[in-house]
Amino acid sequence: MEEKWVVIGIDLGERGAQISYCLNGEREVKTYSLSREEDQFLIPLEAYQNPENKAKSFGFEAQAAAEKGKGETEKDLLKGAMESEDGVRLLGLYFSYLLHLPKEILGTEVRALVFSLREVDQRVCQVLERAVESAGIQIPVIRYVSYGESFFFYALSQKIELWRYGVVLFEYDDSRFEVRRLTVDQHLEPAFVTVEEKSYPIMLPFTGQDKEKLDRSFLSIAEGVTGTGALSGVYLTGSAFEERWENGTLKFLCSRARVFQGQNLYSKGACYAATDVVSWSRLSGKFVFLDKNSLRQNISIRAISKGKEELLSVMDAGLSWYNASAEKEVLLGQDKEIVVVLNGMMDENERNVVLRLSRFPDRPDRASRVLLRFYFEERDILVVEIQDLGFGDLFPSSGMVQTERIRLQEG
Amino acid sequence: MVYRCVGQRASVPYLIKDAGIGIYSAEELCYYIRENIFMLDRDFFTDDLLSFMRKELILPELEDKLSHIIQYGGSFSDLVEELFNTVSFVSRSELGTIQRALSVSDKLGAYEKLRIKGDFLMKCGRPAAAVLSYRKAIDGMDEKKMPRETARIYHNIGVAFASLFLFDLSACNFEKAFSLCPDTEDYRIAFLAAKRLFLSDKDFKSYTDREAVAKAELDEVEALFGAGKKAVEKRKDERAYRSALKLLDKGDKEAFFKEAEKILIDWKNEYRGSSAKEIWDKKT
Repeated sequence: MEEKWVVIGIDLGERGAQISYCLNGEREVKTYSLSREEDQFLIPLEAYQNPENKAKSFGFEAQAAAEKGKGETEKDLLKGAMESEDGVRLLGLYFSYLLHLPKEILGTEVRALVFSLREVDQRVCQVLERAVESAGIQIPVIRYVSYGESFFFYALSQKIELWRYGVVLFEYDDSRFEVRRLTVDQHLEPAFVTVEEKSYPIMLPFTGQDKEKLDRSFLSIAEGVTGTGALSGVYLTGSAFEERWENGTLKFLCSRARVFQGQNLYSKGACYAATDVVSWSRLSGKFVFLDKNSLRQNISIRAISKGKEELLSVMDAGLSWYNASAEKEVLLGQDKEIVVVLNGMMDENERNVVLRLSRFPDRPDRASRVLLRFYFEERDILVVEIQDLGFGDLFPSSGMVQTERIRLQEG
Repeated sequence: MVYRCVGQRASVPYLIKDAGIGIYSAEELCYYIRENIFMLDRDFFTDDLLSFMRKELILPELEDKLSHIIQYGGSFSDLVEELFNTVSFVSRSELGTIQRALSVSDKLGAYEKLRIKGDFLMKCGRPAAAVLSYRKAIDGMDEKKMPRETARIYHNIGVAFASLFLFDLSACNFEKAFSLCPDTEDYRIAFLAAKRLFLSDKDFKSYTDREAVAKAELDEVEALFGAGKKAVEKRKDERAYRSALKLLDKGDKEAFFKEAEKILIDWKNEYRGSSAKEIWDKKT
């Protein structure tokens, strides 16, 4: 009998969290719903501690317990985790609670977890990683995707006829009206996928506005965004679309493409990203996703292999900077120099950055093994940490670590 | 420039018993063989070593090729060539040099191989093990028939003892080297320098007056000390020590002791790495 395991996507939105999952035997992505009768995907990002017995509860249970105990829940656990270590631990417990909700996956090994967030930065990634660690949750691979990237994974995991000529996503609630247009350029191999994002404050706020007027505004925006060319799919998400008011626009959109509505697109997109991590979908092998967070340059180092100089690939363009990291072990030549090569993906421009390790111990040629760690501190700052590993018992490690920062130029 | 690594780094090293050295990678293996080419032969490629290549270095094809060479009676030179070609640790011309060295190695005496091993151990920062190798070399030599060669080894023992801060033993060996080769002034200067380090200023003065040591020789010893002092001042631990002393000057005794302890621990570990205990056990 095949061993059962699962990959998970968790969307952390402003109003709450959603958890989607996919078991290896089934390959269908499902989102946990509180109710079987209707879609209730959103789980409040709240916690409550009983003042008497100190028992903690989360989500809707926390809200119910607080009401009973005449107390208050701790809201917005993500914000709390960004502010204190206690907040990190509480968020970790919340994740533990979340992972226990879908009964289907209880006791199953989780092979990959992807978080989707509206905006991703290094700090939030570190906080989420610490939260997962603090709760003792052991998952071998954890990644992060922005909503743009989550949309990419969702859209391209559908049948080709639903994305071939491009896809548009409208997201609408009281605080935002955002449009994301996804375009696939299949002339290149791998194909380039770009997402353009735009906000329309004219549609805000949703509550209290004349709905017919809103519909007319929406129609105008939709006509502009969809253009006259072919379009494969349109998605509508957000609380504003939970009631029907956009009949005129809907009629127009249905005449242009297949239209879908749902409130779990981002968590499903995160789960599709997780299936890609474990190589079920291989999307990342066929497509290069580009948005403002994507690396526009291929990063490699010059190295000698079998007597010839070659480029040893470190990171490929297309990766989101917050997920991009790599480690390489190489032997240092007597010049104690490492040449990092940055190649623009759109052009032939090549930039060579020489890192000099003058403080590293002098040893014979190729008698120093070094560990190179590459990661991004910010979107355009590549950090390279070089650690002296010595040369076994022959030349013990000095323990030295040198850190260099390379500012990437616009590619 | 950097070089691509071949295979994996082992979690459990292969121990070269004679040298007491653990090998963690294919490159380290090549380096060891290159530096000790005069001491090794076909027996170096044991079943354990081949198994290590397959299981720890994850180089099964290399293991297969070497096994094949051994099975069909290939020479040590054939094995070395196959290993170095796979790992690409040296250039073609360097490999040619190694193979020529192998043919010379067959003609080397046992004491020369032991001396070379001692020199290698010194380069690896293992002076105590180096002394043992040098002593084995001397045991097999007739100092009357080979005074220069023997003197050279006594001198090397003196250097090894000096790096262990055993200056009295260092001085004895330098003196022995000089007695075998009285025309080699370097041995005399080394002896005096070791004496200078071993004796107090007053005792060294008494010694030099008593033995009527020439001023030129004393000047040369002082010049050596001056150069040594400059080299020490550049060391990281010396700078750390001077910074710690500043803390004491400021009256911050706690911080000074904390920093001083860190420096002492590093020095102790460095000394222990030279296996001082080993030399004492063998000496007595």
